[in-house]
Amino acid sequence: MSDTPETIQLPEPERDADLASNALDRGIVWLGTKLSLLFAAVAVISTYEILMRYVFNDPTTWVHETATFIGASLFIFGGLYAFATDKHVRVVLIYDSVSERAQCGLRILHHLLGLGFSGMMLYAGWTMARKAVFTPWGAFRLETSGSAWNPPFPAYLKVFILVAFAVLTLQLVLHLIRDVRQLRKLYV
Amino acid sequence: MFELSSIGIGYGSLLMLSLMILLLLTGMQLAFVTGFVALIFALGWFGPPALGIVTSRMYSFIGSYVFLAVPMFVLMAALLDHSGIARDLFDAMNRLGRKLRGGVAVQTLVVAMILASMSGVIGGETVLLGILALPQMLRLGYDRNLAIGTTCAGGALGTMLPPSIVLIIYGLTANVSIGDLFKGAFLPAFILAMLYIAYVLIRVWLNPSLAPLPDEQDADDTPAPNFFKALMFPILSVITVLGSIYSGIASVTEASALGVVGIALSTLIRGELNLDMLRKATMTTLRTCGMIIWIGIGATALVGVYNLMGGIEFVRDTIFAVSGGHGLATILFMMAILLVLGMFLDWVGVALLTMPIFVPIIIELGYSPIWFGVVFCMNMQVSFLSPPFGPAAFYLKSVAPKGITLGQIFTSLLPFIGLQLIALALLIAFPQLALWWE
Amino acid sequence: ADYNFKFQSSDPSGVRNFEIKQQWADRVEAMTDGRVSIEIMPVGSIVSHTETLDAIEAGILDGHISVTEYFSGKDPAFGLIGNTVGAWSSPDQLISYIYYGGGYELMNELYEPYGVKFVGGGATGLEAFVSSVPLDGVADLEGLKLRAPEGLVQSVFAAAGASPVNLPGSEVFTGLSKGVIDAADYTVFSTNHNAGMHDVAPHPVYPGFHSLPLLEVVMNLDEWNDLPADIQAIFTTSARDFAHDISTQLAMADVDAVKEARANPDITVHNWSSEERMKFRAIARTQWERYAEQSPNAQKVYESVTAHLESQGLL
Ligand code: NA
Ligand code: NA
Repeated sequence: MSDTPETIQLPEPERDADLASNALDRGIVWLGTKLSLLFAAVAVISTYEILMRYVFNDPTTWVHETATFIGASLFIFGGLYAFATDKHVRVVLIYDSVSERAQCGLRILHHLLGLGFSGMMLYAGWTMARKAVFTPWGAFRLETSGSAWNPPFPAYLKVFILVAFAVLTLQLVLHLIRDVRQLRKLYV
Repeated sequence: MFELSSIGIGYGSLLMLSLMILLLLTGMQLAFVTGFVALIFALGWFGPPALGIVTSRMYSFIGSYVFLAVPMFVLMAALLDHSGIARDLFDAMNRLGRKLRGGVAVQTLVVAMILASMSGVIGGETVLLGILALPQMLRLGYDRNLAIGTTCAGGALGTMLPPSIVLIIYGLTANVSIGDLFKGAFLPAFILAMLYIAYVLIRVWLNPSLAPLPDEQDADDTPAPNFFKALMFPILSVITVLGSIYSGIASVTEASALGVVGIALSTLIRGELNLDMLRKATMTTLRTCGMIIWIGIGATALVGVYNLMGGIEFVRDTIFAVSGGHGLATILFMMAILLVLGMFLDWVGVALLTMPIFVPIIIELGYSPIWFGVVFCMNMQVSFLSPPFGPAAFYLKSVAPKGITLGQIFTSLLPFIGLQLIALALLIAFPQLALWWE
Repeated sequence: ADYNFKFQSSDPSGVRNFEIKQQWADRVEAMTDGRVSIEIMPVGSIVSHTETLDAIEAGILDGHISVTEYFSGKDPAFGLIGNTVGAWSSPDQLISYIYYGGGYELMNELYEPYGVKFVGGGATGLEAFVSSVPLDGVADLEGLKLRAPEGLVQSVFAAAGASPVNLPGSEVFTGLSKGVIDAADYTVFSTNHNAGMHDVAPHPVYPGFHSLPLLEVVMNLDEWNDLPADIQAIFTTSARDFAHDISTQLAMADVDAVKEARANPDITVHNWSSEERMKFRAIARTQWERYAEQSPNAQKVYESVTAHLESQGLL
């Protein structure tokens, strides 16, 4: 029992800004403080739907799709946010036990493989987004959900996915530069 | 150019698994490892167009309405935490259970069962207990491993006690009545929870130092908690969520949103609601969801690529080759496959990958698909806790106090996995546990 | 086999529809003397049901046996032809339109730009309506909270006074049992019955008056063009046989399930009079017209379907 009440503390959201290592990551964290409030909006509009349906017997056509769309957009953004603040789950059993130099090398490996990942996703995401925005005969038409309300959310989401991987690629390049510099410093 | 497909599905499966484990062990982000492996196999096995599987599955995965319950339950938990409601509740509960050694752990499991009967997802509940119960137990001086294990295993109960999204997906895949699945799962879920409680009580009875009773002196100094104030808001929120689901006002996802609004109103009444508090809670939600959902994205991508590689037929042929068509041997071999897959994959992936193959075989052998659904659900309880891919552990890690490592969480979970295996064995030995109501 | 194809189904494996699709694939293999082998993949195993068209164009899948209305987000034309709500009273009428009323040619014209060949099509079967409250005519739809899939169905029910609720298929059972919704446009009677839907919603309407989705066999156009003429003929002929096979098999299963439901004192099977069905069709037609205005292709579908209905004395 090494724990005293003083050492127990919950993760502090404010500290995320300190974890960001470059301007892009800091920008993402800043945007996160604004966008995350949309989760509260999801709760509010879902409650409105229940009220309309149960009390006024007049369900809306837009709440489910809007809530799902907001959620999906935040899920995508959340991945970039987690990367900017190094919050993605990693199995660090071995990583934690090696030298600082080896850790730096492993991180460079992760960034290179990560660039492979995001590069391939950019390629596939481009194809997907193009089909969602243009018809096969080249006319501009946003893919819609096909419901009675029929919003163009599918097209928006597919474009967001493409944009997200463009941003992730940039993040990975910046992290790669940072760790290559640090590795050089460790060897000098 | 070398074509990966020339090595065949058997070696392909082995290579896929090895590459994943190797990359995981270097400390690479899990979400990127599964996504990367999926993309490499799509490219090497089929060529560039197949990369589209991954983005397509990502799009469909994040756009699923049911998943919206995850951020809502996380937000509900975060609001409880960032306000004073949670602390008041657990302090009051400790007062009530102070005479009982291990009382707070038992209360945590009871709260877990209440939460589990409110919702059908696992992420939100584990996070809720991780924020509410774990710091309280640690503050009171409970053994770390016991406290972590109780929190994690309790949080995972969410998909065992009805309503359960695992049973819903199983019912849709196997085309059996979801209502029957819910009825079937109730008793096994209850038995599992009772095993946890019995385990905690036996451990602390054998070794009292694992769960110190609160200091009487200390207790006399602190003012007696206001039970009404401490219990009113949590009970109200339970009534909001449970009540709206069972009375038929709302679906599970909507009930979770209603829970958020209910808690927010409670904090307003308590005078704690402000933009700063709300922002802290939504930031916790954003961070946690970014982590959880991206792991799911990687897993679902991997499943799509593996299915296209011919994984379905390969698994079916292997099952028949190993078990020789014998009933119990087939079941046990399937359990072994599920346990191994559950170590590395998300349950949605495991369900999508295996149930289309397993269920027809099960029906052919004359077993009840309802019972098998409950068995599958129990098996997935293990998958939530088993390393290296243990979602309940990850969820807990995302909110655990600093200094608690993933390795320590997994170590703490081993005895609870043992209890789950006992429950699973009971369920296989006595199918009537899931079918008594028929 | 000379040709190995992967077709994704709109059903999970283990259900009757999936087995019937599997039987079609087996027949194609037998008829081509093993030159063609088709693997039927369960729904969602490669990509989700709304994404199969893109996957076929990209060459990820070779084809699908799925429901046309899933693609109404790409072009309202697919929504209108994929489920011309209220138009058809039986699968046979839809099959007649497809094969002898211009539907086949029109579907191929619509799919050609997507790089997809429409091999053949029929109906999933005569749908039944799931309801927890008694419904005996259009007037009973007023204020009814019902779940309907994407496409024309939602608009038609809204026009008839009902309140469509967006709910994923996975939440239909729970939604009905908890009263989140009163009714659902789900699938055929036998499948609804086996899924336990009538235990929670004991007022089914059979035969249904609403949906009759077009079920299609399609494949990648380039791969189709590479096939020798005899195999192409086997594909189109066997797909036409498949259309009759699936609706007949499902209809016979429905007869058994309806008999079982009638014997159950807790379940009341409702049937609408032909006057009520006509009333519903009239409401539906106003929505077809609205859909037709949304794209040039949808206008083509509207003209083709109404011309056929008029020629057959159905309008
Ligand atoms: Na539950
Ligand atoms: Na696991």
